[in-house]
Amino acid sequence: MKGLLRAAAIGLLVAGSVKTVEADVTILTMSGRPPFADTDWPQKGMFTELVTAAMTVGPDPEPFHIDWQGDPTSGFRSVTEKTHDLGYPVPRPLCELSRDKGGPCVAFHFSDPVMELVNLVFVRADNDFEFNSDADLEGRSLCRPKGFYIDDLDRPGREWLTRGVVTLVQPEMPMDCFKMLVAGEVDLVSVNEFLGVQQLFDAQLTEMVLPLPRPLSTQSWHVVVSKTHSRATTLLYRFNAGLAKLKQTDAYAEIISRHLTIYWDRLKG
Amino acid sequence: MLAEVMTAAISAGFDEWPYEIFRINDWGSHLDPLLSKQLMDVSFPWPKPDCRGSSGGQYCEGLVYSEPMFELLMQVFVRRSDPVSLVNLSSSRKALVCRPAGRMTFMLDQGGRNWLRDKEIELVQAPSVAGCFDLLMKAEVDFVVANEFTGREVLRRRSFKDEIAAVANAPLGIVTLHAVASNENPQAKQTIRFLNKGLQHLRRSGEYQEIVDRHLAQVWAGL
Repeated sequence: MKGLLRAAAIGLLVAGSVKTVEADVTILTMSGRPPFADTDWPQKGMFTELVTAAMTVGPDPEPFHIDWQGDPTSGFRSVTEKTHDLGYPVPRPLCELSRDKGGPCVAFHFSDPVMELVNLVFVRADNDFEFNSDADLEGRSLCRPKGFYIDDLDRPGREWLTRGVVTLVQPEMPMDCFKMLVAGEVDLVSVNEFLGVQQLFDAQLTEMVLPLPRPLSTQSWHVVVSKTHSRATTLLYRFNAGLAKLKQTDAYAEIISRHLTIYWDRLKG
Repeated sequence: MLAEVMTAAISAGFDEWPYEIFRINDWGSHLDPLLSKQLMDVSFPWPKPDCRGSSGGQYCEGLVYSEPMFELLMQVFVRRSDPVSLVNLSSSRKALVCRPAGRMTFMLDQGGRNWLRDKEIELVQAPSVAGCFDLLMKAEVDFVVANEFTGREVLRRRSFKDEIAAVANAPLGIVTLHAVASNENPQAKQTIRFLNKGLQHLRRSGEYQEIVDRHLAQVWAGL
């Protein structure tokens, strides 16, 4: 990296100054994830409001804008390709254990957690089901939609999948899991609390299906940047420092609780 | 990586410009006399101080900076066994801070800090970042200030990763890296203008990202 350059001659010189174009930082997200990121939600979602606030109060803040991914099948590819600088919300796999060598752990730097969601176990209400320890779920069939992380099912000490003691069923959509649960085709469904409860209300299953009190795991959600972005570490630092500032004040808790209030009100309404 | 960016920028920015790149580890000599006496035209990479404040001094007045070539964090590295508090620096004895000789120190006096100006710390200079880490390992300094990439790479090469780490979430600041020319060189502005033209061309063509991709993928794979 170090070096000196010596010019023996200079070619033809052209007058005129070089224009520096400072483009906004571009952030990619996806709609359809209320209350976190959704174009129809107040402030376009809790996560969106947190990202916006953190980017605004971080050190050396820069102008930024948020783009909404129109094509959900592309995922965060444009963040990997650096067409967008940052992306959210992205769950962080257990990178330390990750067997997926080409996955997000390799492609992305993850911000500090913006929020942590609890993965709950949903069962039929008529089922006398207990979940006091991991062993209680052994021998059961568990439904989690395709594309969702499953590394918590196989974390050290648990290893349900490696040991073959839990049967994993992965249909396309979250609602498919709940339909299978009600039909008795699976014993339990495990998704995050918000997604699960939303599905129960949407399908009017609140009398038939219950979440168990003991969480199965927690999943942290993050902002990501490509590891090969030329400003990767500095963009992430700006965000992390802004987020830390929000958490030091009441701002973080205020944003979360305001959105959760809206969320529960809408469910009940 | 930046040597490759630089070479590509020169090729793209100058139609015909015979040049040679020299590697001179004595950074102190780069700005004076090599650039100031016009023995060399350009030196890289250098961080740019915030020239709106007063901490930049001679580095703001004396140099012409190219557009940024890269952006990174200036980190504080400490012994894991003895992490120094950066908050209460002046409360006990003066902390000993190592920076490589000949490298800029403006980051010690920025972001609400006036460590050097108010003599809150004592600056120790080693010939290189590796030399600073050697002093840190021997507890002859309290912390080392270096850019994150050089710091990590030197720790890896020296196998110090278990003993030394950057203080988490507390960089001294964000710096951009540039090529510089001396204001005493009448060609300085023109040279930098052509370099900028080359850099812009690289960014537009995707060549810059291709170079950075290749090098950063290697960096993170090695950690």
